[in-house]
Amino acid sequence: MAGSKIIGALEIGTSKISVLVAEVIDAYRLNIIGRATVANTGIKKGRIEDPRAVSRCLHEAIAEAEKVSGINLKSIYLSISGSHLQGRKQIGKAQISHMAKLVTEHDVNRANEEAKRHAIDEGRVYVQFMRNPYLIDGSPVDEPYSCKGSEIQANYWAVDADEGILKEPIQVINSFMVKVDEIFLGSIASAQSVATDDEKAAGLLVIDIGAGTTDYVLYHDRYVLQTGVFDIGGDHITNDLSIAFRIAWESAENIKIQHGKAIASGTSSEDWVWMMGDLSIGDRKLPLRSIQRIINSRLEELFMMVRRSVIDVIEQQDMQCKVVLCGGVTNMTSIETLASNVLKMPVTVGRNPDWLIPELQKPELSTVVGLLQFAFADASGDIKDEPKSKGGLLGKVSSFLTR
Amino acid sequence: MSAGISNTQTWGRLFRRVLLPIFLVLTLISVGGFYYNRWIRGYYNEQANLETKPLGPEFFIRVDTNGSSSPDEVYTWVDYNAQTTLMAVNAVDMQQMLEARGHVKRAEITKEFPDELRIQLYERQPILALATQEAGSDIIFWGVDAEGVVFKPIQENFVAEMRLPFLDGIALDAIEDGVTEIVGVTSVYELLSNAKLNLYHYFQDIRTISLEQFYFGEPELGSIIITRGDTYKKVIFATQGLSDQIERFRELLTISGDRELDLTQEIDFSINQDVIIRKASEE
Repeated sequence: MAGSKIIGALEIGTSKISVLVAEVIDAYRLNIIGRATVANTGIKKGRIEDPRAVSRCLHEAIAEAEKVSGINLKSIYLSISGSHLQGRKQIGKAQISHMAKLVTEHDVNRANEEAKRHAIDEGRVYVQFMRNPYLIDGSPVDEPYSCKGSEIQANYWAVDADEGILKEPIQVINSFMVKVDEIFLGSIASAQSVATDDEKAAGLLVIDIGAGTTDYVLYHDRYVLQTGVFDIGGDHITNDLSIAFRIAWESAENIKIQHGKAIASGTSSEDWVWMMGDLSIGDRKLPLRSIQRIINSRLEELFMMVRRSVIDVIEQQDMQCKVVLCGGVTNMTSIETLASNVLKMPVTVGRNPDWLIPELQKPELSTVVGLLQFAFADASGDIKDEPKSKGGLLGKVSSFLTR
Repeated sequence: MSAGISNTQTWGRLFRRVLLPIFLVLTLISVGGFYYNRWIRGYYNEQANLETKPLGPEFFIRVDTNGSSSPDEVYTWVDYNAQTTLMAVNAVDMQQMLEARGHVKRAEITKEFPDELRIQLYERQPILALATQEAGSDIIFWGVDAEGVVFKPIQENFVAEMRLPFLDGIALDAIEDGVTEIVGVTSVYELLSNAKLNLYHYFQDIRTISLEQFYFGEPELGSIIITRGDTYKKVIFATQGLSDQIERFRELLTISGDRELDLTQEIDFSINQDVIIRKASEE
C-alpha cells in the first residue's frame, strides 16, 4: 500500500449511508479495500433534519470502512441531492481576437469566464459546471482550438445549491477530520456507474429513485443537457401505504419490499397479503391489488413529473432517448414497464460495472460507485501527471548523473 | 549454584533493559492512540463535535474588476485568510465589506465548490478628480464619478495618465469617502463633453481643463476653471449654485462660439452681478 493513493466515496442518503474506500494502484487499476453501508436516520428529502443522528450513522459507516480497509480516511468525494439544487444553462461569448480569426486559448478562456460570471442569489454556491459544446459562429464544436470564426460561445449547465443546506453534510463529515474534496450531483454519479459513453452519446436519461429524492440527468452527445431533483422517493410510497391501510411505517415498508409491484396487473380482488401483527392488534390481511394500485399511482405521478421536465429539451434536440433507472426503488417488480409506458421511451434498469463484486452491483449503490469512479479518474490523472521517480540506489545514482 | 545466580541476574537485566522499556512504550502508544481517537478524531464520542471549523481544500480568489483596484488590495479589504475554507467564508459579510468602500458601486461574490471564490467588482469610474490639501500635507486627489459621488483617493499619476480634469475649491468639510454627492458635477461633465464636441476650436483638449481655488483676494469668491486653450484661461465659479453657473457658462460658450470671441480671457460667475468677461486687452 505504500506509495499508492487512497480515495473515498460517500453517499449520505435518506435511508442509508454508503462508504467506499479504494486504493489506486496505478493509472488503470483500482482496488476497493473497504466498504460500509449503514441505515441512516435524520434525513428527510435529502436534507439533514437531525444532525446528531446523521453524525452517529456516519461515524458508524466511516469507522466500519476504516476498520475493513485498515486505513484512516482523510478525504472523500461526496454526492448531494435535494430540491435545493437548481440547474440552468449559462452562456458566455467572446470575439475571436486572432488576426487570422483562429480561436486561441485566450478566447476560449474569456468565453468560459463570461459564462461562469453570472451572479447567483445570495446564500447560494455553485457546485458543478458541466460543459456543453462550444459554438463558433453558431456551429457546435467539441474542441474549439484553431477553429476559424469571429465569435466563440461557451455553454455550461451550471448547478448551484443552497449554501446553508450544503454546509450541513460537510460540517458533519468534517467533524470526523475527513475533508470533502469534491461534490457531485447524485444523478451524475449514478450515471457514471450505470451508463456507458456510447449510451450518453446516443441520448440518455438516467433516473435515480432513492428513498427521499429522485434525481435525473439528461445526456446527449456525451454532454449533460439537463439535471433535476424531485423531493419524492420510495419513502413516499411507504408513507402512502401507511396512511391508506393505517399501519405502522415499518410494516408498510416491509409490505412495499415484499409485495410491491409497479403495475397492478395479474392480481385479482381475491388476492390478499397477510401482515403479521403483534399481540395487541393481531394479524391483518390487506388487499394486494390495492397495494399495487397505490404504488402504481405514486410512481406514475413521479415519471410524469420527470417527463414534463425533460420533454421540451428532448423534442428540441430531436433525440432518440433511452432511459436507465437506478436507485433502491428500481428493485421493485415491473418498474421499467411502468416507466416505459409513462415516459414513452425504452427503459432498462441500470447495472453497476461487471468488475465489481455482486454486493456492489445493487442498484441502490450506483451513486457511491459512480462517485468512486470520478475519484479514481481524478486520482489516476494526478498519477499520470506525476514524473516517474527512479527508485533505489541505481535510480539515485542515475538521477545524480543526469542532473 | 553460581550459574543459577548468574541466570537470574541475566533475566533481571533483560527484563529491566529490554522487556520493561518495550512494555512501557507499547502502553504509551495504546493510551495515546485511545485518546487520539477519542479527543482528536471524535470517535467514541456519543455525539461528534458539530462546532468544528469546516475543513476543506484551501480556496483561491479570482478578482475581476472594471476599475483600477488590484487583487492584493481586494484581499486586504476582505480580510482574506489563506487558512480558511470556501464554505467558512461569509459571502454576505465580504460583499458588505467591499461595498462599504466608496469607490465600489457594487460587488458580487460567487462561490464555486470546492475551491474558487469569484469577486466581481463594479467600481465607480472617475470623471473628475477633486483636489484637497490640508496645511502642511500633500494634495489628495479624490475620484468623482458621473453621479457626483466622491470616492477613494486616487493616485496623482492616474489623474495625469487619464488626463482627468480636477476640481479644487469645493467645500472640504463635507467630503467623506463614498458619501458625498457634489451637486452639479454631472452637469460639469456633460458641459465639458458637449464643449469638446461643439466648441473644439476653443477647447482643443477639453480634458485638460482644471478647476482651481481662487485664493487671492477673497477666498469665498469660489472656484476657477483654468483652461489650457487660448480662450477662457480663467472661468471663475462661485461656491454656491454651481449648476446655475454651469448653465450660464454653457450659454456663454455658445455665444462665444457663435461670435468667435477669441480674445475673451476670463469669465467670472462669482460676482453677484452679471457675468463679467474680461478680455485680454483689459488685463
